[in-house]
Amino acid sequence: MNGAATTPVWRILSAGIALLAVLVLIYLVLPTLVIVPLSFSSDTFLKFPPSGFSTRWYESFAASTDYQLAILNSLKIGVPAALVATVFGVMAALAVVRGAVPFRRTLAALIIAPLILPQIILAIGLFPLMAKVGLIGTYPGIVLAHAVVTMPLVFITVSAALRNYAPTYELAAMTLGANPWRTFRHVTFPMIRPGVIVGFIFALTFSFDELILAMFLTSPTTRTVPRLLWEQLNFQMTPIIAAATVVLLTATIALLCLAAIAGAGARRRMGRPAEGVNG
Amino acid sequence: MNDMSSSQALGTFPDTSRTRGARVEFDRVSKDYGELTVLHETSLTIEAGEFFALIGPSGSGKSTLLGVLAGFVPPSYGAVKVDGTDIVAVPPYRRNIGMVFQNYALFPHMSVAENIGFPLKMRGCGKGEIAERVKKALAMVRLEALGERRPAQLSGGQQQRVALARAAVYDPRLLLMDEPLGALDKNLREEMQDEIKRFQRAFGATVIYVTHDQQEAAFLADRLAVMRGGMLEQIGTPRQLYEMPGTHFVASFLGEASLLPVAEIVERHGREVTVRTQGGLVLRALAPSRVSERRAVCLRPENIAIGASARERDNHFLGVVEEAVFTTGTLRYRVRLPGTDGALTVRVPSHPGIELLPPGASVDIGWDATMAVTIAEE
Amino acid sequence: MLLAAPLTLLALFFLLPLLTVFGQSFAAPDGPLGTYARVAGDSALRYSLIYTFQTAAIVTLAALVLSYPVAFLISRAQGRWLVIGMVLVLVPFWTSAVIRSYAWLVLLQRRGVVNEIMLALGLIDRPLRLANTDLGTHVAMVQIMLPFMILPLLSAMRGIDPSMLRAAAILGANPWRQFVNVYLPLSTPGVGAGCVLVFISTLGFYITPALLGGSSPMIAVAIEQQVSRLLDWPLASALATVLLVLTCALFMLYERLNRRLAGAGEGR
Repeated sequence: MNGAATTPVWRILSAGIALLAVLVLIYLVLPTLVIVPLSFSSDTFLKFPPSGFSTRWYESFAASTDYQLAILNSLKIGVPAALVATVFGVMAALAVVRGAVPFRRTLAALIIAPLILPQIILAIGLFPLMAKVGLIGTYPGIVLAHAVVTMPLVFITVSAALRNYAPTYELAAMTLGANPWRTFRHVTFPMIRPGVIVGFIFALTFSFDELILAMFLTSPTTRTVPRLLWEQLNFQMTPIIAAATVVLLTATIALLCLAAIAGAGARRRMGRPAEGVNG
Repeated sequence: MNDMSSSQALGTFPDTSRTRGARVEFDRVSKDYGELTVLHETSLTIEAGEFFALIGPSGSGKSTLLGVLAGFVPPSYGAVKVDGTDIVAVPPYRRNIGMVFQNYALFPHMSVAENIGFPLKMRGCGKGEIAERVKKALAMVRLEALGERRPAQLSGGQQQRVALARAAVYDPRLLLMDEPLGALDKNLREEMQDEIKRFQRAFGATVIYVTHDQQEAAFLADRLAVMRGGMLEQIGTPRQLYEMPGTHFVASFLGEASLLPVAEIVERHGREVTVRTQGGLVLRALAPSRVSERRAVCLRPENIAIGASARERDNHFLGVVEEAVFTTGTLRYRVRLPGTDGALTVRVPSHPGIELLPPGASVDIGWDATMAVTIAEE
Repeated sequence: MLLAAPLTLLALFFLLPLLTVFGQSFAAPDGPLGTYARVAGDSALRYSLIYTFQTAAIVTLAALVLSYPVAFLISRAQGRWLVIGMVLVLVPFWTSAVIRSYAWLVLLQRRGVVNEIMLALGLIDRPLRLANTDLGTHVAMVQIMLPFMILPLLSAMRGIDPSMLRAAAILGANPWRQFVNVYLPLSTPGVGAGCVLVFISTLGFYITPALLGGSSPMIAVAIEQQVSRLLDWPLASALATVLLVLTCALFMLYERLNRRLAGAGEGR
């Protein structure tokens, strides 16, 4: 169990546990990857094994105006939503972690709640409200909805970054003559920057993937990629969906790599040991 | 006369060139959090240019007092005056006070030079001026070559010197140090103590130094205050506090002390008293103040003579050795006197020609009246 | 103040919608509790609620059993293996549930990958029905929920000082006793947090059950159907209120467990 001398029985048992863990990891990762070979199929419908290799579905994906519009919409919604979530999430984290606020824990729970509660509840609550003020099908409507559900992600990563170091640095900056804004700009922000960047990327990724709010609050002209995929899934099963999901998957992984690099780079500059990406 | 003329040359401003330091006054300052009082009403004046140490166990209120002065802790009541001006309403970043933190609080994302230049940048100095003053500050702490390093790449002692340079680079007239040597090992601490003392003499600012290490405080400070339970227990020079402690707490916080509880005062003559202890011993001791409350006679272990020389002392008794140990440089005995509950701690210099007495041995011990002092006993 | 802006956003676009749902659920023509009476009287909806709970329990238990060894293995890994382990958990965690559910549909449908492989190997003669079954949906849901279980477990396990196990060993505990008496109790905050998180998420699961089906719709699917097909907003709101109350109760439990987890972590 801890590298010390053990009897054969325990060694076999721990090998068994390791094997089980590896099998579970395969179960976790492999099924999603089945889409990749299918996306290169030359068939007109999803068939396994594919009868030939072709990139025709990627070509029709690239040519599809529906997908082009949806990708553009996802960007137009995801980037502003993640920006709003980042600014507000950082403010909330500073207030809750560093400020002298009452009911600190309850506040933190309230801020995290939108991420935890099922989105379907929020969706059927937001729909009539937004309908009343004419926000259904508009960009601001879905941007604000996504900002609320992604703010917790920024709040969590930035809170963790703030808890990672003692408030002494900020006190020191103040004795050295920095007012609250300059303390934030020159000391607090550089220290939490990796947390802010990672939070922003998480918020962006979440908005790119979100289906239920998009289903209720967007229109065919503001439709996002997940909503388009979902509508196509319910009508047809051509490998164009497979091609689209592979592209999306690649984009997600690229964003996560960016987040990991942002985190690791900052830690290196600070001369601190690396931690888990979710640290 | 010279002082007069220079003061006139400066017009109406007082002459501070001789003592650059600020004068600090705590005027009936207290701090409580709801029901919990962490600092009882405290008044204290620290003179310009003084090296003043606050000592006491953790939770005694010394860090609160420092926090009030730095501006981190708003006092519940009272005024804090620097050179006569109340600064309670001034935010920390406008107080112009230098501070060295326990773990230095060097910004990890800035180089050493950027750290030292930070307060100058906050004060709107130009790039050229910053570079020049940082260079001078680095030279002052002998780290000229390390300006481009990150704090994490420096040793503990080097980080400490950077923290000192950063707190001093903008010439504050008041420098606060909160356990600045707490993170260093013993040898380095002693080296840095010398350095801090030299630094303060050259720099001339008033220094307020918080520590729980009484030896460090005694070595560095002109005066010190012992704090306990959110109150000042006693203020004085290190020697006054060690040799004439006012209370049992002060006596035992600064070094080792043996106490003999007093039953009655037999006679007074000037600064000396003759007392009868609860064990029935009659002895003479110094009485620095009124002897009214419950008292005890306090003895430092190195002031008690043992063996033949003890017989010539003002107070002389025959005791029994309870415990005898060698510690580096000294022989340490616990000696029980007839009729007393506790034992006295006695310390004598050790050398090859001296024999360590075995437990159970009878031994003469004695001390002069001026070597013992009566104190308040709680 | 710093909190004013975020709290305004939360009040307008989170708390107000929840209040709207709550209000709507009482807006039935047949009296304020009419919709709740209809939920209670409709056997299909009643079953949907029970089925959702059963599913959440099954998925949580299965995810826990499968995640524990994985989290244990990763918590002990060093250097490159640690990075690989974290990547294998975090990439699925951040991959859209739409994509991952779609992959399961591709695998499990009638002429899907699993059936084709089994036919080719001669294991079966006719394609099996895998999609639209409870088993198929559960297998897919467990896979999608695994990261939500592994990450809290990992966070608890990485907080366990390895010298605790060494101490237990030197005091005479064999590996089994080390695990049962030392490791397992120290990891329980993570187990609790992970279970509540997976349970809550499964209660509100929409995408996978909507796509893969099962013997009954899950609550979230039922809510969506009430709104988009039957346009019955009061009934959907009543169902959502039930889901909201359950989730809130569990979320409070989660917060409490998380606080314990944070408390345990500080002792490092």
